[in-house]
Amino acid sequence: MSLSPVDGAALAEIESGGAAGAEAGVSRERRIVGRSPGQLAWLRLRRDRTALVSGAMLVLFVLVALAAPLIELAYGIGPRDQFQSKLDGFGMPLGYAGGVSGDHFFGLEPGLGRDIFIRLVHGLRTSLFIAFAAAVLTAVIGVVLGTLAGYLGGWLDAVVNWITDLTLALPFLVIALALTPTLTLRFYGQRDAVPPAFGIGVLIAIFAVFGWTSTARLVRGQVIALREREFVEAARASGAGLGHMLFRQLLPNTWAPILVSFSLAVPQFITSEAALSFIGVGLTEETPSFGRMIYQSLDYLQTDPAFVFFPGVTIFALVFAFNLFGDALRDALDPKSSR
Amino acid sequence: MRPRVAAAAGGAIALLVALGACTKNTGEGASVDTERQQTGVIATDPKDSMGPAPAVDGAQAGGTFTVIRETPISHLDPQRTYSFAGLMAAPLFARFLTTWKDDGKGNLVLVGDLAETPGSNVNDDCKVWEFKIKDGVKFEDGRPVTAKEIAYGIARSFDPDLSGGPTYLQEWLADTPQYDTRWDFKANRSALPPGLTTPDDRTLRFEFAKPRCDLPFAVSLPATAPLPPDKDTGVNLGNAPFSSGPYKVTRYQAGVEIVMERNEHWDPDTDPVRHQYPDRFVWSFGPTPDAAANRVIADNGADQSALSWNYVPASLVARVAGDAALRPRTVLSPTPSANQLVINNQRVTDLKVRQALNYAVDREGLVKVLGGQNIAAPMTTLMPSATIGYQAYDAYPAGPNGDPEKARELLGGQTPELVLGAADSSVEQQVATQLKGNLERAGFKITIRNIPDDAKLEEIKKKDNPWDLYLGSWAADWPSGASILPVLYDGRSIKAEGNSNQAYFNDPAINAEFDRILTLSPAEQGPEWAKLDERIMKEHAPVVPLYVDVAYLVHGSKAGGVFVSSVFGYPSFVNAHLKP
Amino acid sequence: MSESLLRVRGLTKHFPVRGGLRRAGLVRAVDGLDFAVRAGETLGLVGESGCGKTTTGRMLVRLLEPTGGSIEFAGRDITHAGRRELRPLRSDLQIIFQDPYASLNPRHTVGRIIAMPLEVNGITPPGGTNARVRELMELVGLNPEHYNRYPHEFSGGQRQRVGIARALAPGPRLVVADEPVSALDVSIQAQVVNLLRDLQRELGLAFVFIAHDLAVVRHFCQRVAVMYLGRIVEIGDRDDIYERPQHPYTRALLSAVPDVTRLGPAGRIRLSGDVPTPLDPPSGCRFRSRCPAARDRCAAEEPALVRRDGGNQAIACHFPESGPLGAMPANGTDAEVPA
Repeated sequence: MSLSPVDGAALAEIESGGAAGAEAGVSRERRIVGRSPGQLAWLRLRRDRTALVSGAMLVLFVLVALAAPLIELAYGIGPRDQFQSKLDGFGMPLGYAGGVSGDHFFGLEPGLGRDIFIRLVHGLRTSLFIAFAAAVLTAVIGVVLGTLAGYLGGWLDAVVNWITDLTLALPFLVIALALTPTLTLRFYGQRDAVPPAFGIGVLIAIFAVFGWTSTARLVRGQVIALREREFVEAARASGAGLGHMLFRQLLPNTWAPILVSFSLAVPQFITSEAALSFIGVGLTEETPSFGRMIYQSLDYLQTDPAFVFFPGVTIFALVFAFNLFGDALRDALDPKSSR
Repeated sequence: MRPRVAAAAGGAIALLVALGACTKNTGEGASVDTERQQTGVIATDPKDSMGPAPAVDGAQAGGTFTVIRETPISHLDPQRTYSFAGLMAAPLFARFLTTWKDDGKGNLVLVGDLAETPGSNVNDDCKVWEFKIKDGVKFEDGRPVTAKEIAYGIARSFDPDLSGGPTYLQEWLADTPQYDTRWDFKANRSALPPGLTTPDDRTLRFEFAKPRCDLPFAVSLPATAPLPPDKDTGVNLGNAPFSSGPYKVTRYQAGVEIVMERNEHWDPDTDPVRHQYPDRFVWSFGPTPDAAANRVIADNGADQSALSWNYVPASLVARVAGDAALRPRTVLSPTPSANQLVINNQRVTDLKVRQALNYAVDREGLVKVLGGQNIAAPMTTLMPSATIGYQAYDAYPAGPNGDPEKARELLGGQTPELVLGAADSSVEQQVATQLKGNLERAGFKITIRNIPDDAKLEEIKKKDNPWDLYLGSWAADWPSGASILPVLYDGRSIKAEGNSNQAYFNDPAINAEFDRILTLSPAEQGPEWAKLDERIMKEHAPVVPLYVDVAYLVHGSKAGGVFVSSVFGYPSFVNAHLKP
Repeated sequence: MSESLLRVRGLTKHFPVRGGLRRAGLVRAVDGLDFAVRAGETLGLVGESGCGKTTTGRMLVRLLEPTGGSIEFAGRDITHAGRRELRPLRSDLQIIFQDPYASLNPRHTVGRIIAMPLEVNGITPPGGTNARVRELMELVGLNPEHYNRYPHEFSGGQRQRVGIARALAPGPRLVVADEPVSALDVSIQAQVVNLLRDLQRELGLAFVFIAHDLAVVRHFCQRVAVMYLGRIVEIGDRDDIYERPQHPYTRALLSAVPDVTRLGPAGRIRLSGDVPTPLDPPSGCRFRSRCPAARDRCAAEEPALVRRDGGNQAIACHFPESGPLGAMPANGTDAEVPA
């Protein structure tokens, strides 16, 4: 029997007998409100320095991404503006460190001569949006399928397992590559302009269709473990229907691994989007993409290392922050300490 | 991984990278001579066609010469060869009716290779040509090469299963582009196509329905490599071609490696151009242009005798050009590969719009996007400067950075909406983005639509393709306007698919000019093509000329004798040798 | 009989054992139970672990589906009733679970836990749910101000009280208590048992009290049924069972009770052998393999559960014993009643 140290004092009151000490105790106890396991986890998270630092970085990134249009307004340069007069005969940026200057915080791209800073900001926005949207979608699909499969078992479980295996076996890349031009042709013919939102939507859809399996498996395992617990039986004995069982009893006990899996899925999607943009799935050259920028910059490692440096450091910091935060989150939610 | 350790590692890496960035770039480097004049003659003195080829200064025999290339050579079979790699590899193991003497500086002489002279125009009407075949040329098994084997080689190129090579001889002999309908090789293996005869073992005779004054040039292509019928393994010939040249293919590992070793039966006294210095040539496939360039620059071990076939990639050019120590190991040369923004004349029918497109393009910016002057040189003519008889002109002088105001003026306030089809390779995407920026400055509204890289060429060759603009390139098969202008701009050759005339341009007056100039002798043709070039651009502006490729190659310290072919713009191996 | 609140006839539960796809055998967990419980009556169901009492308890509240026999509650046959038919009865029939740690949803406040049967069945008590929850908490001896606390903030005994309050929330007529005190410390056990007894008297509840602890059962139950290997071997009024046990198994059990007030002369009745497997129970009387008084007839013929001369309880034995417990010479292991 482990008790939360915070409430140790109040607990002694309870033990000594309910009604007797109640009168006197009530006024003192009113200040202490019961802490749910979630609140306890939050407190633990707040105390963890790594979580605070990485969390702050993530918040910073998200803010920058959200404020991209404002930043562009203040900076004065857009992601498509070119400054080829500031490149030498080989297309390399003049000056130090790839053209870093007061006008161009992170320098210029070789060749096209576009400003790296503002392209990074916009690229960050696109990448984060895609990654978050995909993570949310995969979480939702995974939770729904995993919970149903885990709780109902039987043929539904078998079907969901079969669908999961099928999805895992599908050649993701081949299908993505094959599907994108087909879809583009279907919706926009051969001559119409393809809006950037379409590429983004296709990418998110591809991630959602292929990415839900790990969450589903995770949730299914959790639900299978939970459904034999007696509090679930108690609800069933009281006549609880499927909805109540899933939403009131089971899901509140599964959100911890879902949250951790979500926080680790986002950086995975960021790097996946980078890889896919590079090979031409989803985002076109016109949409500033983190991923495309990084892959293009790798060729210039020897001749314009600054071009590699800025996007490289940014994505490193972003993914690192997410992973650190995810780990800290997992520690905070550790079931051993939230009995 | 513990956070602190990871952060420290990340910081160290970042610092290293940043330090590398701390030198100031002031923008200096080598430049290429793009205005060098290409001269070309057909040899009249039989001595020019005799071997041996003059010795290369400082060359000695022995060693293994390695060529590193990213993608494999698609066909070694001489009758199916049409890629640059194939065209430059073929002289190692095959001999042709005629060939070029090339000093690597733009001076070309067409000489007889298997033939004693570059052909005699029997009736002076370019319809009948005869070649006398040299004595003493042998295959790799010692048997002699005669006119019969050369004729067989040409005959088998009629086989649709053995397609892929150039189609000049087939079309001219059959007098129709659909040559395989006029003569069926498979049914007539022991016979010869119409017009091709071998009056005796040492004479090869061509008879054409129309005058073909470029025949001596056309037979310099590997399609005229000889082959004995009993050695014809059909589609497998490419794995082990039957050699008539200084080397023979001894190992063929598809997609990985090709090894060629000396052919003892090759007689240098019969060969005006080739040498046999290295013991062995090895073609090694796989490394990306970046990786190959880096290896060769590092110059370690076997890489010292290596040449990276792919041009130095844009991302490395600055590094290579900026390193004075590398200069002796680089080769810089203009090429005849011309690149244009091709306009689909069926869709863009307004001359003013096409002219405005010509004014709007910023060629200097484009060269920067491509990687600078060691990669591309701006071009304003239809024919590249490597063409015999070339004259420079600028029909729409817009300055190095384009003239958007003039373009706007021509458009008269309109904003035409055009669709630019771009392959999804990274280079073409960047070029398309650059062009879009230029054109939109001038008032156009450009939509870029992506085409899968491997399908793009096929798609733009279709007459009814859906795009208004696309990037095209052309490298002539021989440096004469005859293999450029009529091929690209004669509207009568337009068919449903497989078009070289991707501008889909058709003007009867211009077509008549093509016919007229083709009847002239090659020497007279040169200046006429140049005049026609300017006329087509000024009157019709069917395309926007952009740039010529510049060949920038790097090789190991022991690799010698490398020069860029003035005909094709890729490395020629006839003088290749290893230095001690 | 119309007076019985709960009537069970021939209740059977067999679990198929699968060897791969074929059915390799059958676990006869419960094999033909007959008993009845009147309104306000407490029936104890005792036996060692594995005798099928927990399975019986689960079947009564329809957490398990009976394989055979019938269950009648308030005159209605609920043996195979669907969820909809059972709905109105859920309020009348509730269950208290054994494990105070697993029977409460860790993510819910105790107030929510207690209100769960009301929430599930859409019942709003007059005066509001909150008032009812606080009323129940007071009833079971908890401080009603703690309704906002989480289970991890309570001790084991308190959690069990919460479980009791939950069972009482809809105002049931019969409560199945599945070993409600087995997982508690001995000192707390007494408290909770007393609480249950007070509640039973106050609210006039009927109980099916499942336990293995004979002392506790004696304290709480008016009638007792003794189970062995899925069958009832003896059933009757508490005093009859405890003071005049007739079935050899009952006698063995009682002799093993470490009780200060001795029930019989010193000396244990030792039973030989181990409990046979429910997959393949002995023919005839199931107890014969360990019964010190077994004879040929016991193997051939299964005894029926009937009343005999010399006692008020029903027993299933061919040769019942009478008189106070005496030492019977036997070899072998103790009939340990596992805790």
